[in-house]
Amino acid sequence: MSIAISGTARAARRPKTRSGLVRFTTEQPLGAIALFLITLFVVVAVLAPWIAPYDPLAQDRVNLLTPPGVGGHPAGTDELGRDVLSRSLYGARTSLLIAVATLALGGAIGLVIGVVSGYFGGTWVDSVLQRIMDALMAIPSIVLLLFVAALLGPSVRNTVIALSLLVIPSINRVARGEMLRIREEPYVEAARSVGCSTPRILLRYGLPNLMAPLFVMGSLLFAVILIAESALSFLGIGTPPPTPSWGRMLSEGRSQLEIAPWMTVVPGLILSVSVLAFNLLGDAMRDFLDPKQRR
Amino acid sequence: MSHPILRLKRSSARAAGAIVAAACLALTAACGTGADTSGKGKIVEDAGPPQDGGILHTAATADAPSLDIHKEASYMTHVAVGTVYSRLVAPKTGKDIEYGSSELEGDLAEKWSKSEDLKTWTFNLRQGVKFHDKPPVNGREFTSADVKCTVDRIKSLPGHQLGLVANVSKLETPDPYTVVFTLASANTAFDQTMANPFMSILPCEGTRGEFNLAEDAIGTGPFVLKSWKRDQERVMEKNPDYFIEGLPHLDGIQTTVLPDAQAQIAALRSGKLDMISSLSTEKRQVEQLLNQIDGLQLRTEKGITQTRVFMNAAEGPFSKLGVRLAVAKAIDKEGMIKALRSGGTLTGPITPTLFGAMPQDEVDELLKYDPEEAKELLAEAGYPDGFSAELVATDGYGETILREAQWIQEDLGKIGIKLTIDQQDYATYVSSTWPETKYDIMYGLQTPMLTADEYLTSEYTSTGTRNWSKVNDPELDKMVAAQRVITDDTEREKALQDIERYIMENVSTPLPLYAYDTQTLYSGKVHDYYPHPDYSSRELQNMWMEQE
Repeated sequence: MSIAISGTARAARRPKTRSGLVRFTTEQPLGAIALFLITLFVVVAVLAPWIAPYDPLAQDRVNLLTPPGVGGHPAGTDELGRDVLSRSLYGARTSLLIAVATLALGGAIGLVIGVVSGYFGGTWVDSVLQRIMDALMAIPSIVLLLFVAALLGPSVRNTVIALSLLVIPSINRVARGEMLRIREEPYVEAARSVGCSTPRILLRYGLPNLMAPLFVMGSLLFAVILIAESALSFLGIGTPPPTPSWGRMLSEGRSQLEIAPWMTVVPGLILSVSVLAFNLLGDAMRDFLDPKQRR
Repeated sequence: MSHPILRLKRSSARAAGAIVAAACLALTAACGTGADTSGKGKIVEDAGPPQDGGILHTAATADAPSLDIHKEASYMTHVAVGTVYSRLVAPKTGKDIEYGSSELEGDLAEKWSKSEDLKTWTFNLRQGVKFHDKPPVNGREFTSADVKCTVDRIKSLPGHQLGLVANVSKLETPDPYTVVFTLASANTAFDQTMANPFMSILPCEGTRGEFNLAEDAIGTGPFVLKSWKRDQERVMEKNPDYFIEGLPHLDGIQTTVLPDAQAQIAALRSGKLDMISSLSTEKRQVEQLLNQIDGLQLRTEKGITQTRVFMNAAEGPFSKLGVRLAVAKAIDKEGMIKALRSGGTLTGPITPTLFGAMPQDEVDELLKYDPEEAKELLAEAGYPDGFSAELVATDGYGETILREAQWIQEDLGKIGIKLTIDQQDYATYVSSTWPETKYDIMYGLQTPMLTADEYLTSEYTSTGTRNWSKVNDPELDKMVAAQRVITDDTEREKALQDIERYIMENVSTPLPLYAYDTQTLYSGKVHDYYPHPDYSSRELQNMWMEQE
């Protein structure tokens, strides 16, 4: 993925003013819709315990596999009598938790490796780090995921670890590319000439200037993680039962597709919309932050 | 691989369907029963004289790990090559014979007799029986020497099946068509032992290692194994020299390995499969299929596979009997069957279809759902506020088991036992966690066994080969040993039931919940299918398919 950001990237770092948000909305209407959906997603995930009509684990054994609207279940129930809507809402929580944790863990590691590697670009440090990253990238991601997840066993923590391996090389690439450019900038040379230490240069002048493309990357990766987490759970090696997770709900609903389509349709729809939203936002942010796209 | 009879092309099948439909229009009265929804799925009996020919297309959820019917304990192996081999005697199946009946008929033996003291059993073999015409056996005649080779081989192999012939002290073959077994101790049902699918008779070439028994199977059975592609398909062809005149009716059996139940159903719907079996499909989905596919027949059999709660009797909170008894009371088994299975029967340690099983009303009473009593039992055991534990389960048995695990999690949660589910892959579960008792509480299945003694000895005695819940009860050991030598059937049945009662009240692990019903769905052109729960598939020799 190549993201062209030049000198003015610094502007994007400033806290978004109201005018910034308005400008984003007018320039990227699709992105604004996506941003709205994502906000909704986050709100739902955070507030799930208060807005979900039922406990996602409660088994209403009088109403097994009831269609939407019957027995007070707006989106029906699954074969254990659990409320599909509540499970889908809580599923957002699981997905958000995993995605944020993965981005934090994988992002942090990728960032450190990328920044260090970029600053020392061309030296042996760079070579060693980048060859390790190349090795990681050379393995097809789904194979890597399956391997790690199967090795560690299903749990939320292990899912985060497995998915982080997917995130690290991507973040590293972008961070390194940016850092290679930044280290030639006059302000870095200036910092070096007044005797700033390497850590200070990296933290004070490096990091802030490479965040913009990382936001774009993060948004796109978020979508990838949502899908990957669902894939792992679908295959039964992601989030363990009975934790509500979209992927697991899809896999559980698959065998009932003909009799109880709501078990699959509801979480499937929410997953699709969320992934679409994160992709749209990523695209919109890339265009918005790219000065070449501006008039 | 080419078959003598080619499958009907889809287009011509459709054309045939159209003709049938047109005929129905003309004879509305004759075809009227089809409109009656209550008659859907009915098995057509007396479909007329059997017709020869046709290839049965069927599916398996998993392939056999190996084809060695003695070495491999997996019932998948028995399902895979059961029709290749014959036994001395075999369970009788047919229209008028009850499912799971222990009535026997001669297979390779023409007749058999026992001595007064029940220690000498003589089997008179059929003459002129030929092995399949495959190298290195090349269709030579079967003799008593092959029986000796087979029994010697079983005795030399470690494992579960050894227990079946451990009692044989001497095996003599006075002539090529007579085998005399001398037993160390009296056994009133040694013929039942010889009817076990583990007792499949191999040619001496196989036991001497002249061909690889793990990858090929040569026997005297109704079908010849033509090819086996692991995890893909098994192709069987009719044995032209089969010793029963006129059998088998089918020209062959093609088994495709399709692990996904939904894929099997799709294949049945599209006509690629004639039969799918051993599914525990959602009732509603079966009803839907019966409405969608004309003439589809449904056979529901009382299940023989038990679902089990395994509790570690040696350590952890479940080592207290009171806790285990509380678990037995706390689970709503009937609700579970209704919600998650197509049917089932509560069971004691011995499956309800077997000799020695407890009367059903007693089982129902012992396993009654009573959360209040469960709570009391738990409090008496010293856990008035409950405790937390990990419930091990595997996805290797399919989604249903995981759903049931969640059901149990909820039920035990209600009496204060807070469980988290540890979902393991099948390999870890079956090769380490289970046999090495690396669990406090676990939920899963038990491969069906064929006699009461097998269940009791292997799972509940302190030295049992499958005592993986660490049961150690000297009283029980004594009782199990004592029932084995009782020769009177009524007396023995009573002894077996007493043991079961003792287990339910004083051991309670592995705790049996229920045996779930199995369903077989097959197309309208398949007839005279009368299965037996011994999973050797011998009944397929009598099955036939309507030819267009």
